[in-house]
Parts: sequence; C-alpha cells; structure tokens
Amino acid sequence: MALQDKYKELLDAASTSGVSNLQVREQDNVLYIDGDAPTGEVKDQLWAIYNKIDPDFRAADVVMNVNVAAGAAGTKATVTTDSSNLNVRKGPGTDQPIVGKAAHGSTVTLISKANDQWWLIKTEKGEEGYAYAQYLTPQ
Amino acid sequence: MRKSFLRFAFVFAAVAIVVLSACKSGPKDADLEKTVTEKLSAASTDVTGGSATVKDGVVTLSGVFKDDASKAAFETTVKAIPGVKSVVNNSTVAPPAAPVPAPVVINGDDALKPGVTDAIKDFPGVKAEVKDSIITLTGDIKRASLQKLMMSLHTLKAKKIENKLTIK
Repeated sequence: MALQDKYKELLDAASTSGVSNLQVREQDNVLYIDGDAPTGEVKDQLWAIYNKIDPDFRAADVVMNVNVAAGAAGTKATVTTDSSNLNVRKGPGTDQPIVGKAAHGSTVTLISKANDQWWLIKTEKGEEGYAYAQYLTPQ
Repeated sequence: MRKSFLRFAFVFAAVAIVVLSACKSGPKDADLEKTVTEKLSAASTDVTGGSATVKDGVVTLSGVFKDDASKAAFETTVKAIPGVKSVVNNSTVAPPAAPVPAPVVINGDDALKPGVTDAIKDFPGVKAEVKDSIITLTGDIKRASLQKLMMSLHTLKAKKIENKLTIK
C-alpha cells in the first residue's frame, strides 16, 4: 500500500476526473494504473501530477496505462504532432509501409482502434491507414 | 387430622400445577433453544456469530449470514422444528466481499519489442532494451520530449520502465 500513499494525489485525481474502468493494482513494488480518460486534457493533467510526484519518471514504480477513449467509430481527431506530418501506414507498426500523411493540425476520422498504440483512421484526403495514437487527440 | 390432609392435598395440587406449567413452557423452550443452536453450529459455513433465544416457542435469531439465501433457508429450517411457533429473524446478511481485482496484464518481451521500436522511433538518441518484460531506457533525450515518450511506453503493458536517460 506504500505506493498508493506515495501516488495518492495521482490516484485521487484519476478517480475524481472521470477516468472510467479505473483499476489500481500494486504488484511486485510497481503500481499499475489502468483506465480510460474522458479527454486528452485529463490524461495530460494526470501525467503532470505523476511527473510532479516522481520527477522525470525515474523511480520505475508506476505503469500508468490511461488512454483517451477513442469513442465510437466516426469520432474526429486532431493530428497533434510537434510540427511534422503524421505517417499513415498500411498496418499497425512502424515497420509497415507508409500509405499517406496526415497534416499537422488537420482533422482525421477514427475508424477503429487496433490497440492502444495504433488507430485505423481516414485522413481529410480520404486516405485510410494506421496512425500512431499518441499523436491523435479525439475532439 | 382431616383438616391437615386437606391442607396437604391443596399444597400438593398447587405444587403440581406449578410443576406442570413449568414443564409445559420452561424446559421446552430450553430444548428448542438447544436444537436451534445445534442447527446453527451445523450451518457454521453460512453464519458467523449465530445465536438463538427461545421464549414461549418464539425463536429469536441473530448472527450474520453469508447471503440472503442461506438466511432464508435457515429460517425455514427453524420454522420446521416441532414446537416452534414463530421466528423473529434479527440476523443480517454480510455485505458482498469486494471483487478480487483481475491480475495485471504484462506482455512478454516479443510482444513488447515492436511497440518499443515504434515508440522510440521519433526520439533519436534514445535506446531501449527489453528483458523480462522490463523496458530499460538509455541514451539521451530533451526534457520536453520525455513525457511524450513515457506516455507511449506506458501503454505497452510492460512490467516496469527503467528510465536511465540523460536529460538534456
């Protein structure tokens, strides 16, 4: 329970900010936090608290797999890369060939979620393929 | 002589009435209580702290049953005991136990490696090793990029993530 005390502020924030399917488990001195965040802001807020309690994520005692729920098929998402265009690939993996690009700041349509890392999307130009979920923020 | 015989008969009759009425309720209640208590012990897997008192054939039950079904079943059992007039069931039902959390899902190295490759692709200077489901990061990274990298790595279901990066 020691870790749950250390990360109490983070766990409290997760439960009060509307994270659904929240699961908090402590195993072999690692705290596993799983759930679906309602928005990208909530996820960012949780990571900010995590970084505050464990500066630069050095302690290796948390695995926080809290992702923004992709929502139903047809949800729009913004491409939130730093500045470059987002690669759209044939399959879920960087070893897959690039079939298109989604412009930085453009809007794409979510078709389905392959996993927590890769979402099948359709760009404004109608190109379909897999994009890295980290760079997509559901609207 | 005759007067004292009458007095003796009267006292005898009075004693007999008292004894008979005592037989009628006292020992009977005690017997019932014993029977119910035995049944409570027999149902020890269903009830904790179970006890019973009996007065004039009315059984009062207390204790904590594991669920509604066992509580109702025990009441039925008690009502079926000959001599039991009614049952005052003051027993309660234990609140359901908290569900046992599902075990943490941890991916094996083979499942983790492609995800790690994808995650560090956009961060030149970052090296990652995957062993025993533990991701160890070495190399260097800009502080502004660290959280972004960690956010992707934390979705991969690793056992833990050791950050040994030099932050520039």
